[in-house]
Amino acid sequence: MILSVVQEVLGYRVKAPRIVFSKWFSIAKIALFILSIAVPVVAPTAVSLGLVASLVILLAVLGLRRSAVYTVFTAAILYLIMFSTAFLLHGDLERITRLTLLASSSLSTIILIASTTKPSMLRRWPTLYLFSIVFANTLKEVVDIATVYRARGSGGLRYVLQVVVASMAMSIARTSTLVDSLKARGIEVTE
Amino acid sequence: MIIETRNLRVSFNGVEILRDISIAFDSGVHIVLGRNGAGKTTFLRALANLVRFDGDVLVGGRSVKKMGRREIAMLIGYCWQNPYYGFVEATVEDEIRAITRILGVSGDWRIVELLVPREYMGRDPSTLSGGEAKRVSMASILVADQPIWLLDEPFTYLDRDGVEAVVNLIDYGRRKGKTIIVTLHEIFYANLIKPDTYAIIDGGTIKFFDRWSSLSDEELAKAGLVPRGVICDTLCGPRGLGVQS
Ligand SMILES: Nc1ncnc2c1ncn2[C@@H]1O[C@H](COP(=O)(O)OP(=O)(O)OP(=O)(O)O)[C@@H](O)[C@H]1O
Ligand SMILES: [Mg+2]
Repeated sequence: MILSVVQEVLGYRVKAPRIVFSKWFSIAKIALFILSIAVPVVAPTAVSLGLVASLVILLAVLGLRRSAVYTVFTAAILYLIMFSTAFLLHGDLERITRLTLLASSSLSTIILIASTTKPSMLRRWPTLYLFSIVFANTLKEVVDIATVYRARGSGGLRYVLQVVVASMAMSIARTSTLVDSLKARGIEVTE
Repeated sequence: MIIETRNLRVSFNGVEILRDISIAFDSGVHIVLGRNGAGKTTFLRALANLVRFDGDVLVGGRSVKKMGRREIAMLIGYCWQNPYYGFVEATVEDEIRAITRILGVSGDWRIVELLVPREYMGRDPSTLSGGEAKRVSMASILVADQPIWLLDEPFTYLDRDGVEAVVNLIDYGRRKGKTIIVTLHEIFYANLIKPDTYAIIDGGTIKFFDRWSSLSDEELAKAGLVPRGVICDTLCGPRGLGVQS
């Protein structure tokens, strides 16, 4: 499921409406990111719940349906696990709720930012530019690697580990060729 | 514009890949041949100051070691071998515009027209087919109209139309007076681009460097390359395609 979300996020940057790449939208995104962390920490639960709900709706409205579903789905699972653990151990239920809301509000803004930020918008900051490029290129290949391991009949935890290890090795290898490609375009990046 | 090396040496982890290469290329088309692993890519990367090297590389008489990255990118268009390893943007159009924005130049869009069909523009570069990717990758650098082009295996992945596009590109560059260095691991395509000179890298040094017309099969065979005679025999001769006896 997470792989199809990754594909949706990366694909969105190609077909998204122009407006989401505008300057105002970028400022709004940064504001949202701050809010998504601050609100669940300080505001009453009802307000945070409202924020998370509107963020999920925003994702869905923008056309990121799988991401919206994924946010709700992970929140539900996370809450279920933490709630039952806290319940059995007589833990602090309110804190659990807050944590879950924090996790889902920041997850949805991170998805929002990742899907509406093109590398070209970060060109002024070479390190950030390189990072976003390596990140996107690695994610794209992770999808391929995952397919290869699936095709070889790998499954379960073994499958996840194999994919994670292979992806890390690959992102290191990719970095040097991407550094070449940035340098060839006149951007100095220190390795 | 002349690009030349003086006692160029490159080693990786203590292993010497290129030793003591001194060679100069003036405007025109030059091919650099060599078997797999001979050091062709490393040679081009050194010319563009992308690997650590000893000795010197001079462009128009000035050392690349003393130039900033921007200045080098304005003079040298380095097109890497595997197109997929260099994509940096979300769409083909952004990919091609990136260098013009970074260098603040308007670019020569005729080069893009020669290589990239219009309908690629809105696509995600990483989803392109091999040949499409190779075209976009080259256009994304050469659009900046540098006087020196370094093309690392420009024909890989390409179909007939793609090969024709690259041949036209090289012709166009030649007419504009560019210094074009093309690496190849076999000479099949060399005949299409009618180079002025050829150089063969073998054992870490330049074994031969001469006018294209004087290339001999013996030199090719010595450097581990397929001689012309063999290509012609298999393709045109009695043992040729489909005429198995
Ligand atoms: N970054 C590196 N670190 C260590 N070794 C390297 C590195 N880059 C290249 N090499 C080694 O240097 C040698 C020359 O490599 P290079 O890529 O220049 O060959 P090539 O002539 O371009 O080959 P091909 O025809 O396969 O493209 C190879 O043995 C390669 O393994
Ligand atoms: Mg090579």
